[in-house]
Amino acid sequence: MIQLIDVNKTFLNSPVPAVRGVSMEVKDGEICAMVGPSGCGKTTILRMINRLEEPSSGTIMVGGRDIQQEDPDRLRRGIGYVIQQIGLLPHRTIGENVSLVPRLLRWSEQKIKSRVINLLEMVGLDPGQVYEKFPHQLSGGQMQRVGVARALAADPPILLMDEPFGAVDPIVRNRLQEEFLNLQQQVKKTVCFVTHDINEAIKMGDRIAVLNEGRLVQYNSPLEVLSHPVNDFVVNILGEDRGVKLLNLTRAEALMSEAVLLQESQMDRAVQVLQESGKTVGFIKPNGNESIKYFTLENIKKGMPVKEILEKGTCFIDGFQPVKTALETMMKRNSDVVGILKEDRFVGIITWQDIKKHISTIREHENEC
Amino acid sequence: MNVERFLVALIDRSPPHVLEHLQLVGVVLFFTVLIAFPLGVMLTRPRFRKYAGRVMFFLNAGQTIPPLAVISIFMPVFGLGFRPAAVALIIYSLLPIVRNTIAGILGVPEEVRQAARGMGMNQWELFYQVELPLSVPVIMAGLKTSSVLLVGTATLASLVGGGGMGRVIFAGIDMFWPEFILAGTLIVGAMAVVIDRGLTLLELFLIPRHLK
Ligand SMILES: Nc1ncnc2c1ncn2[C@@H]1O[C@H](COP(=O)(O)OP(=O)(O)O)[C@@H](O)[C@H]1O
Ligand SMILES: [Mg+2]
Repeated sequence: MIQLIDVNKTFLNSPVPAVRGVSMEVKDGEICAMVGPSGCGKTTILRMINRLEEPSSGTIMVGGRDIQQEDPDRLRRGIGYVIQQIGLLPHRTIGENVSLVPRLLRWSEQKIKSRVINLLEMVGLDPGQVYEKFPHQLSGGQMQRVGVARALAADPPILLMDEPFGAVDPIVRNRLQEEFLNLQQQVKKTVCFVTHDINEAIKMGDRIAVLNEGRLVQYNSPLEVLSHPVNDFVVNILGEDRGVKLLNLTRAEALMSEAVLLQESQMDRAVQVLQESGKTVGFIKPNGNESIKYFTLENIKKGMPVKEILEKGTCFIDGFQPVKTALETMMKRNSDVVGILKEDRFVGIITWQDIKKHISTIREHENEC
Repeated sequence: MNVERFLVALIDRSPPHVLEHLQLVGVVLFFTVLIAFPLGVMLTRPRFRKYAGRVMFFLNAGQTIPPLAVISIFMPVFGLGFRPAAVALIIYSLLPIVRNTIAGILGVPEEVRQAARGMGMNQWELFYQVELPLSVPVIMAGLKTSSVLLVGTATLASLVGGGGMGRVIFAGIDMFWPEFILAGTLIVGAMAVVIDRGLTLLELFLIPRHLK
């Protein structure tokens, strides 16, 4: 967990503070996307967390400990750091670059080597191909992957990323974003992700911190920020097409009805099990390649036995895909419902009705504004 | 042009002075590097960086004074001989190495430095694992410039009794024997080339691997 408590920073040679009274908390395993115009203090906040800058006042806690009490180098070895310019050591091979922190921590050579190979695979690089290469022999996208691998090398609980995908072209950026989200599902780091691109913030963030002139303007889930921007500044940052974005960029899982797994034996009291779990969808574990069978609370109220109203799930999307993808999938497959997967496990469904309801709530808000 | 006199200059008179010259160059280079390199490194440390400008100003000024003048200035202090010549030449040779050490280290890309710090390298690890290897090419260029200059200016050492190839060349000037002047300059030129080649070999050995 990362906690900032009333953090201020004024640079020595500057009359205006770069960061003013920022208090926020990044929960374990969450990605906090910090977004705001250039010069609003994003980088400064990030660099205070690993003590590359010292706050003028306020407290920063990492993992419950005041970082002011810790040795800066030791602190940094326990925090992954990725920057837009990457900053790979040009005179070291990719293998050596990735093993930088483990080497500083004096891991054994054997452990280092297998860890590096593992990491390169994790970020989608072929260790056999890149291990002995030097940074200038790689493409921008490959270098950025190495940057991520290097930051993860010693398995730090915390990752600071400063516009990590800002320097690559949009197609590669998109792929890197998705790969990182996938990776994050496995590694579950506590991430501070800085970007000036609101779309990237919405895509990457579990929560979004909107900053302006060193102040924290709003700190909420992407859905909340999009549907309830606190002031005109946030509305402006979100752009004209806020409503469409909400659809484009709301993760499908935000609208999904959560599902609970039912055993065959529970079928008779399915409604009761469902109500006890507080969820609205029940499903049965499929045998082998069979598609998932599920039912919803709404359907069941019609009084039929559960076995007869079971529906087959045929199309699925990943939970962090946007609602737009759910809509597209429905149209492509001519279906009113898509299943939502998380880490390849069925976790819920999203229906055409859910989306329609969602659109109408956006409309209401737009009229209010 | 008297071939016989040329050969006398080349084969009979020069060899002992070649040795003196090389000795002078060697000693001067040794001490120059010993002073200039740490000085350059120190001036790039955050604490002393603000003095870099002033030190460079003095070294620049020193470099613009003719070497003969530098050597003469030290004569009243140190008297005649090898030592005063060496001291004057050391002072004269400092600039290129200090300058290039500073330029080399400050030339390390800021993002590389930031990333290395961010990974948790301490100042010392940053210096010897990152800044030093990456600035080798620039520092070596300074060392070469300094050395080649030094091989030439070291001929002036003979004027204050410091020995070296200046003895052959100035003998030629005094006696109006162009053969001596020619033999002397040829040997000095050859020494400069050899030292430059030698340092290039050393550079190949020290240069960061990605540039090889
Ligand atoms: N080392 C520094 N010295 C003085 N001012 C700085 C320094 N670093 C950043 N600033 C100033 O602090 C403000 C915030 O900068 P920064 O955190 O880099 O913004 P962002 O990353 O959001 O673009 C800017 O006005 C910038 O000029
Ligand atoms: Mg920035």
